[in-house]
Amino acid sequence: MILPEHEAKELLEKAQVPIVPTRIIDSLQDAADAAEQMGYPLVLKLSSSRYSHKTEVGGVFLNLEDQSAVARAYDELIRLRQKLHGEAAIIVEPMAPPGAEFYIGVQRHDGFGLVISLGLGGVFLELFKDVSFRLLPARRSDFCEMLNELKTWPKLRKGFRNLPPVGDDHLIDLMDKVAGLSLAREDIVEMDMNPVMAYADRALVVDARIVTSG
Amino acid sequence: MTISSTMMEKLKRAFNATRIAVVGASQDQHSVGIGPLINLLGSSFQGDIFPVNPKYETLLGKKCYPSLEAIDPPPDLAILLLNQNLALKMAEEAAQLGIGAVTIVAGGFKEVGAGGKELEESLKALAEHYQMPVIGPNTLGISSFHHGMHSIFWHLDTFPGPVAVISQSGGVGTALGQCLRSLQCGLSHFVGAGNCSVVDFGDYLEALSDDPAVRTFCLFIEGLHAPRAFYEAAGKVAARKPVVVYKAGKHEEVSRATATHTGSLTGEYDLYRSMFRQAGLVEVQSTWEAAVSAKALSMLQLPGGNRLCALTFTAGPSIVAMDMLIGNGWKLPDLSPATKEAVRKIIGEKTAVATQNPVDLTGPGFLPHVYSRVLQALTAEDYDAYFLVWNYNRQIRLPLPELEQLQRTVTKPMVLVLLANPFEVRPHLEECAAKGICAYLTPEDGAMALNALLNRRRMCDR
Repeated sequence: MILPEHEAKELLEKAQVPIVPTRIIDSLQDAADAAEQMGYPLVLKLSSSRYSHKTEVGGVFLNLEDQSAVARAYDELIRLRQKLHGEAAIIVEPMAPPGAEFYIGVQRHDGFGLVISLGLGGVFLELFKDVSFRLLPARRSDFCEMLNELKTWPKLRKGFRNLPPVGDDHLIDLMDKVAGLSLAREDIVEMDMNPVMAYADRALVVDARIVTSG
Repeated sequence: MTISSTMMEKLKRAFNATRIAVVGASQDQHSVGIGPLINLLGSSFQGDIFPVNPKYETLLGKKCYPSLEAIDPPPDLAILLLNQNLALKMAEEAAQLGIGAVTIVAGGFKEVGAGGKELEESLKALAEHYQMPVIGPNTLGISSFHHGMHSIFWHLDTFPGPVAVISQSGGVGTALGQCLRSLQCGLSHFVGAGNCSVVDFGDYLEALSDDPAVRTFCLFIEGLHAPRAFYEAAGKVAARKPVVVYKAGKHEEVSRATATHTGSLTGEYDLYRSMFRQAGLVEVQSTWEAAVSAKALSMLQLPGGNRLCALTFTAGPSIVAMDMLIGNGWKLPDLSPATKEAVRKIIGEKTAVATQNPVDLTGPGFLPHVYSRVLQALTAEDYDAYFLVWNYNRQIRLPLPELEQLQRTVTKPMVLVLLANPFEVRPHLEECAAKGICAYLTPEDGAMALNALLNRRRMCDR
């Protein structure tokens, strides 16, 4: 079973994995309240257990700068929800500032058992397949080696182009927490976090898919 | 560990067997049935050999037995040189007689498909029921060279040494043994793991890990059916002894369909690679590199760090090697002014010598007393390892006694690259081996050897 994004994030949050604050909205008033707390720009998304590739179905609106942009996105998502999946939720979150984008995944493999993967995230994941792996449980030094095995890491670490530099400790902490969660919860079959934004002073999960058994 | 502790005890006993039955032994020169007998007799096995074959009274001068039952008390190991169906029957008989372990050389099990798979399941059930380890099937068998128990059925020219080869393939395993032999390095054990139906890679590692004869493990793996169990066993062993691994079959994709990205991103080899590294193994990319690395890891102590000093009197070979060495993380710190001065004094004023690192002595450097005195001066510095190039010339004596002496006093790894052909310098290579000088014939091999040491150092430092 694929968890809708907001449930996946709830699970991560409970395990102290840092995530971008996410809230379900049921009205434009909810959206306005969120904007007041989170500040613009905002992101609105459809959170559905059926459509985990939400960008492909037009279920993601990024960089909403003001109230009218939020209202237009909200109307679109209401329509989309009626068309695709009536039980889907509409969620709002603050737009994460630009940072190095990583991918973190966990998979239960028949022979190898629980495996964590780390890669260059965002849209480049499938293009470059710059990914490293470790079996879980793993030590902090293993997570550190995973970073060092990425071909793109030396450049990302220093701050590639306009991006801020990356503090590896925060990313390693995050991986450690994800590892802990997947080891504790045997019903988690797969996790897929992309992007995980990394900055000098923090790292956080912006989008997550979790597959559970049963 | 995938086998029980009872089976593990029996497996350890099989590696130290003093009573071995060879079932299906034959006097036909061209049959596999003669192989274990020839190897056991030729390696001065001091234990008892029991050929079993109702057709003969004697075989190669040994009394031949009509059946396993006729041997009393039961042997530690029975090598079954029979087809798969007979082997299965004989394995059961062996188990009932209380024989410690059996080797099944026959193929025709899971690797041939449906019928073979059933046969293999019966074999596993039998082993489990009687708690009897089965080596193979589909294997050359096992050899323990330090007590002359050379009992595989194929030819392998080697001698008792520090490397335990464990190979899924008999062919690659013997190739590893031969490569090591041509590097003047012998074997402690040869293990044909074969189908790993009952005893798996991790079990062999564990069974041999306490044996002081084993300095280094050298593995060839095609595919593991229980990678997690291997990871756990190999990690424990690698914490104590170097484990070199060569993996074939790198292009199989994991065929599992998944809802998320991970599945499509994960080639099976990526997982093997990561697992090897995480377990602290030294992965190599050819049989030759496996042999080069296993030899270095067996002969030399690990460097304390990555500060390397290179000495040569011909520039090119060290440039070639430095590409590989620096690429793997070695640093070449410059000599101190005092050492530079010392080198200049040894060489004399007339020759222009590059007293940087690599130290290229050019002209007078090929005089053995000059070369060894410079090396002595270099060992006064705080380097972690030494890379020595010597271009062979039969008019000029090799400074091997000096190198032996220096190596003993500085207790740091030294690799000698002897630019020569193996036929001409064979006595020198043997002298190197006897003196504990780790020598190779090409700059690339020398670099590979030092890289293996540094990789192992890193594994130990984590």
